[in-house]
Amino acid sequence: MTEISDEQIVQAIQTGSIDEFGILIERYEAKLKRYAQKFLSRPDDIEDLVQDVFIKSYTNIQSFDPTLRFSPWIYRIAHNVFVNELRRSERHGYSLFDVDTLLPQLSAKETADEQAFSDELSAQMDDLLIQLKPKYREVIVLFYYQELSYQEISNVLKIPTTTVGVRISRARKQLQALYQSSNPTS
Amino acid sequence: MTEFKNNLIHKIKAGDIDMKPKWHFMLRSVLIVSSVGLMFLMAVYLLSFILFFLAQSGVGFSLLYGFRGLSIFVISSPWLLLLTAGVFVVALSLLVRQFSWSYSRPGVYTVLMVVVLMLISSLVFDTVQIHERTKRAMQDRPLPVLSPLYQSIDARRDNVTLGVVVSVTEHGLQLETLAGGEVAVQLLDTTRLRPGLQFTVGDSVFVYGPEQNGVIQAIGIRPAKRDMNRVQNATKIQGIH
Repeated sequence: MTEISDEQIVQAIQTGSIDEFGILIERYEAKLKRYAQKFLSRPDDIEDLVQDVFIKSYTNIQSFDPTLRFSPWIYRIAHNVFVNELRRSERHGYSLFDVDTLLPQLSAKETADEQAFSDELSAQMDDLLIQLKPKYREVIVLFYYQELSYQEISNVLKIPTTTVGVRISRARKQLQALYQSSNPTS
Repeated sequence: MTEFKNNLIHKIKAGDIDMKPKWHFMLRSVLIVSSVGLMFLMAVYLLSFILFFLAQSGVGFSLLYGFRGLSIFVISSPWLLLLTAGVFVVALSLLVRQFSWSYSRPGVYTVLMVVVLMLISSLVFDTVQIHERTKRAMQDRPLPVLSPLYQSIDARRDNVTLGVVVSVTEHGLQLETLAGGEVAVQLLDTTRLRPGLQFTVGDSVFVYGPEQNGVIQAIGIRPAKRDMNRVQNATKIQGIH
């Protein structure tokens, strides 16, 4: 039996079926909490922030077009909530404007090389991620932990797909440099 | 059912969380699209006016006369209007940046697209002579903001003189200017003229160069495609000198 899609569930919610929203919560609660944890690196108010994401999703559910994919839509809401939280709590949290979204970049396509980090690097990832700038941290979280494609990340962050690739590539290099500086013998 | 999910569903059922109706989002979309359209029209009107201003005042053609022409252009161009047009370009680019066809490409492409569309639309405005008509209409029925804008086209400016040839002399031309006065135009070896350009009495011309004691030392001269009788009548009515 095929599982009912997110988009079909949203259609049901849009016509008044409140209980169906529970299925969406079940499907996305853990994912959004992991996104928040990795991106914000602060476990204390994660629950409230993710609740805020679901409240905003429910409030604005009529704006969702069921012919599109639901996950980038809810991740976009989560991104806005988390970025607002970053701006509120950190002085140099997240810049609204970034030059890397303005100029054309050399196309950085998804490659097999990017599909996974080495095991050693993955093991230390949490400690290293926190040292990255939020804009680099977020693409790593969305690509490696949430397994979104470049196009989906582009839709979530509203930045060019080439910029997504460039940020992932730079983030990887920074993570590898951080890993090597913390493990000089490796 | 988890406690997290329970709490949320309970709040929704208790009416603590309301779903915004579909019309709210439709109205918002209509407002955004209307704002973009309205802002685009205003930007195009402004840009086409700037192009009209540059052509009708002769300031735009000063660029043809080298470094001195460039300095005339810099001094005489409507920078406030150009700056406003720039603000419109930035505002429009930011407004359309929320659409996927825009944000999925580098921002500079959006800015370029907005500028190109504005230029093309400005040419359409030019084709239907919207500013010619508005300028004429303003002469009969002045409007608070628009009339001074259109009047500024024929305002007296240094180094660019619009006039009618009243006589052709050995050393140059005698011009009747907008204000009704006469100036002599001295042709120099360095004066730039279009190859084959002949002057006859009654021609309208733009003369580029500084005026001293009623004599303009011409850097360049260019035919002006303007109906000077109409211009002179209008400036007399408006009192421009």
